[in-house]
Amino acid sequence: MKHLYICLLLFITIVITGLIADRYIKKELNIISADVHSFIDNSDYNDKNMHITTEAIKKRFYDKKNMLLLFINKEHIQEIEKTISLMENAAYNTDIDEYQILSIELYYLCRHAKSDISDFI
Amino acid sequence: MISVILRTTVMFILVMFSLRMMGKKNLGEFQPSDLVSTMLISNLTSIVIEAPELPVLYSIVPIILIMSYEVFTSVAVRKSENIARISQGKSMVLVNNGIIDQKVMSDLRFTVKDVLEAMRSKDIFYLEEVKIAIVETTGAVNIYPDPNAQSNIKKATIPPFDVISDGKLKTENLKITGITEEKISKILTKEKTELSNVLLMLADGDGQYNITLKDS
Repeated sequence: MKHLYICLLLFITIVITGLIADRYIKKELNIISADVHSFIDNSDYNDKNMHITTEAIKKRFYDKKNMLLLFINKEHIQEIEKTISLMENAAYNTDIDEYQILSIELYYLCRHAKSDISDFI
Repeated sequence: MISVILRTTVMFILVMFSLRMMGKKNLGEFQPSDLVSTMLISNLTSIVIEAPELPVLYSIVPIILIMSYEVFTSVAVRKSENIARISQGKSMVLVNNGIIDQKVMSDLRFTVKDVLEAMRSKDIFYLEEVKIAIVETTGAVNIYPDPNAQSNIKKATIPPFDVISDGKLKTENLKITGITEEKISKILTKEKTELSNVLLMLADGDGQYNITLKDS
């Protein structure tokens, strides 16, 4: 019976933690996606906007990176990291076209990472 | 490399812990659920060791879940007879008083060869020696020998072999027992049957035989 209680405890912990972690990660990725999305939607492209968006994405991503590493494939994290660095570079060079392409790429990377944790099929 | 060492160590400890929790005393006698759990756990363990890009939780969480399901199943099986039947099946009597139950044999997808092998593994060569043979839920066959038959049977120097199995003559066994095809034909005529109707015919070196006919 002792084993049953331990397993029951582990099972409940996993299910609850899993649900919380799932919602949390989705929320974090949604915020990053939303930042990118608002930039893409915004027709007023300028240096200031690019820098603000990049800083916001970078801060949010690096703040949560360790948490994301627990649940998401490392390759996705590395790809997101690389894209953010390239976006930073494009913002520095005020290359709006490149920045837009990278923004869309980041948006799809976040969606892809999200589908890894939530897709049943 | 340190990551691989750490991952392997963590997975080893986790698998050992899981197996202890599942209470496997005899790993050779698996119930279906035990087998599934062990197979899945071994596969899950190798995933994160082989793929360092995946988070360790991708293996740890499923292993703990499988271990929990296994423990839940075993508790449910103890509590309910019906769940036990669904999860593990039930023991079935394959041979009763030296007569093979062909329906059970067919349900279990056993062949005549399987029955004879199970008998021989228990040092039983004559079908008449079997009082009862039970196929357990683990797939093992346990035989209770007939104490009277064992003393009554005159054992030959060459033990009985299946000379006819599932309607087919086995020439290699005829050679071992020294019985000719003509003698087999005579026996079949005497028993008023045909080769295709015989499920099993055992014959020993002294010419003693036992015929089991196929159920119509």
